[in-house]
Amino acid sequence: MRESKLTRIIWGYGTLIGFLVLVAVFSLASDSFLRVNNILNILRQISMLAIISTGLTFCMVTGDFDLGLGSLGSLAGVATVSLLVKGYPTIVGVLGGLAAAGVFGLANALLVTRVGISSFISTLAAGSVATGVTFLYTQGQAIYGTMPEAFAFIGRGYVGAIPAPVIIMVIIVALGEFVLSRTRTGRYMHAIGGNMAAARLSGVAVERYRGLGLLFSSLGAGGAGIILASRLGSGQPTAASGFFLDAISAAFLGQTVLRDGRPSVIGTFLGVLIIGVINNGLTLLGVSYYWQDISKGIIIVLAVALATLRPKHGSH
Amino acid sequence: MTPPLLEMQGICMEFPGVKALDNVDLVLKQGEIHAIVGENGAGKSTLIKVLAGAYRPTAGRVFIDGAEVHIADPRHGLACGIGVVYQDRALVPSLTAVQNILLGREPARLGVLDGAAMRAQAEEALNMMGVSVPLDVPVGELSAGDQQLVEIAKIALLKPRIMVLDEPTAALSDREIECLFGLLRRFREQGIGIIYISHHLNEVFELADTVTVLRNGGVAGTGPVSGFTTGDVIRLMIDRDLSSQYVKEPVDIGNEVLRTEALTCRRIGVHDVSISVRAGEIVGLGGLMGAGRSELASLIFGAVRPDSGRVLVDGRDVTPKSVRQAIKAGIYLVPEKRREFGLVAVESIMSNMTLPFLRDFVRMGVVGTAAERGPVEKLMGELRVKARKATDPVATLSGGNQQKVVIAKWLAKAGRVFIFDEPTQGIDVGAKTEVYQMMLNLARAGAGVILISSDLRELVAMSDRVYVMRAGRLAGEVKQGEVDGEAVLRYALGGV
Repeated sequence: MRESKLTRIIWGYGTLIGFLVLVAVFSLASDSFLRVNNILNILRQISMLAIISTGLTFCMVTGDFDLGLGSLGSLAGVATVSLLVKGYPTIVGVLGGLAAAGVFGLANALLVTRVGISSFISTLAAGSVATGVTFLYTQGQAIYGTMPEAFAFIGRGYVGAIPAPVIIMVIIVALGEFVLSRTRTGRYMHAIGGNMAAARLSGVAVERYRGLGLLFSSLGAGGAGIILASRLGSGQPTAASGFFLDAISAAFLGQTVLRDGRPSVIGTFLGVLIIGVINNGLTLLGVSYYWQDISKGIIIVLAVALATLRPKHGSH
Repeated sequence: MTPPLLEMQGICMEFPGVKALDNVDLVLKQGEIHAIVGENGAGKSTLIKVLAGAYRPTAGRVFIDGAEVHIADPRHGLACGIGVVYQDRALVPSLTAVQNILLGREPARLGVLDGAAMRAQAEEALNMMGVSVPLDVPVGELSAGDQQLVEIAKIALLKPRIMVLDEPTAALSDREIECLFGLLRRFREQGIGIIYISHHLNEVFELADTVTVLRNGGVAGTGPVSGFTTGDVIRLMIDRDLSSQYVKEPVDIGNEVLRTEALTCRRIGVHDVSISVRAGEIVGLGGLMGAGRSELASLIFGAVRPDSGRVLVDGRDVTPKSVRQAIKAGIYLVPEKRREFGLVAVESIMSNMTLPFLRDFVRMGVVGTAAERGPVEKLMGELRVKARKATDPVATLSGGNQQKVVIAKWLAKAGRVFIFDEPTQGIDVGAKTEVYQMMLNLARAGAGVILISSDLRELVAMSDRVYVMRAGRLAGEVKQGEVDGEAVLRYALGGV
């Protein structure tokens, strides 16, 4: 069947077109939607989700998955805050929080590549253990105290008119996109996700790069958890758990952006934007929070269903 | 005169680009064991699939008891009295013998399985065969021989008049083979017509009444077994047509580049294999499917670690513990089944071609620059890879062009040993010639080349020497100047 140019564009850029339609609808329905203030607001709201989803994209590229993201994010936030209230400087707190999440990422890497456990199981277990550790340490209470100004800046500061977390997000997303599409590491990860046997027989260190994907995923979760802790001004044991479903949704939406259905950081970022716009737009319109969940679910299923139905190239 | 039990007339089967069966006639009488032999790819499996109803022939007619039948699908084949025991077992390992024998035909009352009736029917089938196997353990725990009996019982239960067995002895011990032969002779006495496919000529001469030799999809010879010697059969199996698609030129032979010493890995079934390859040589590795040739390649290439033995390159012990070590030592593999093992189909031509030595194609840590694109486009031109651009996904290429990409991966850095595993499978004649030319160029450049091929003509035409494997061991070596199909087949088939 020959495709017309129009259908090719619709199939090729369907997710992007969908995003633009959403923007158009909300800007017609609400005067304040397209105001600079609101746009910055949306960007700040999605910054943490974008960072966590970028990490997840890395492990999805190699064909793995991370079900422990929310728990690792909360753990990192709690670890950072508790270091800071003990008087350590911001840099130590942040690195400590990242390390706490990273340890779990490394454990996943070892279990998946050396023992051969599926990443679904391994990361699910890691999430469970991380949640347990967080609760043991905090006894379920939020951790408060005096923290350095520098830490508050991470989540609440501004550079000019731009919120600090938005700047961090832009850096992480740009770096992620660069690594995944323009470096050897990214090439190897794509090869592993595309055909692990062929990658191994081409001399790619499959274990190392799969492990790296899981590590990046945990660090993304940790980073998002730390920014969230800064925004909240406290370490809360379940603070980041809400990110989990949105991150998965964003990554799946992202897979529908490219025609061959592979994960990409840019695609994931578009997924994050879609989720951010839906949340923001529906709130502006005064729609109940519960409707936001319902509409997100429907939109994700629709997008993925369309991507599944669209003709793939090379399938002759 | 009563018509024969089964008659197949002028069967043709064409797949895109391949004529798998060309005007095949076959007659099977009641109470006859009819052996079909032939090289890999001669058309044996295709013929059976036509008979079973799995393929619709492009031309030809099938008669049972003189009446024409049009077998629509395997179910219909069974209803016509044709029972096929396939080569790869169709058992569910976690179910018991009883459950397997009656799979899909379980007696039930109001939808509830009738355990007693199931057991009785399974026992009846086995009694009829005069054998017994443990009925209540998962068949995955049974010996290969018992599994084979369960498989046969599954078919015997349907009381077929024609029974087809495809390589039934492949996994069996000598004692189990004896038992199977006894069983088949009893079936023969019951008047069942048996089609027996085997690579083992000694079995054919021991068991069969009639033999048909297939070659290149056609019948090369047929008649009572007593009218043939093993030598006759082998000669009939070999295709002597050496067309010009092969490119073979003399190359100066240098020092030894690769030697394996008693390479052994029990897990993948390679035992005590010692071979040697010299610079400029193309050394064939012959043998039947499952003889352990690809497995040997995976040991030399470090994809599997050997239990014992050594791999030497230029006299230095490099026994690889990983693919990366093998590559570092200059051992490169073009694997069989390129879509499964050779290519990342969703990725671009460029990213496939540069995958093994990507480090050499980056500029300041960045891939996809002119430092990568330039050499890739140059190589695509040299190898005549037909594609629009280097960033096209490999999946969009034809089989021959895909294979060129797999080979091109290894051309970035001079290697010492190139192993080609079934390099021309599923590619067109033109691309085949180009692949042969590439092998020759590598040999001329001083590398040692190992060619694994199930295409006997190709193996004989391209190889300076041929090692032949059988059942995971080296069965023999056909020396330079003595390479011909007959010699290779003798070692490969064994026992003759």
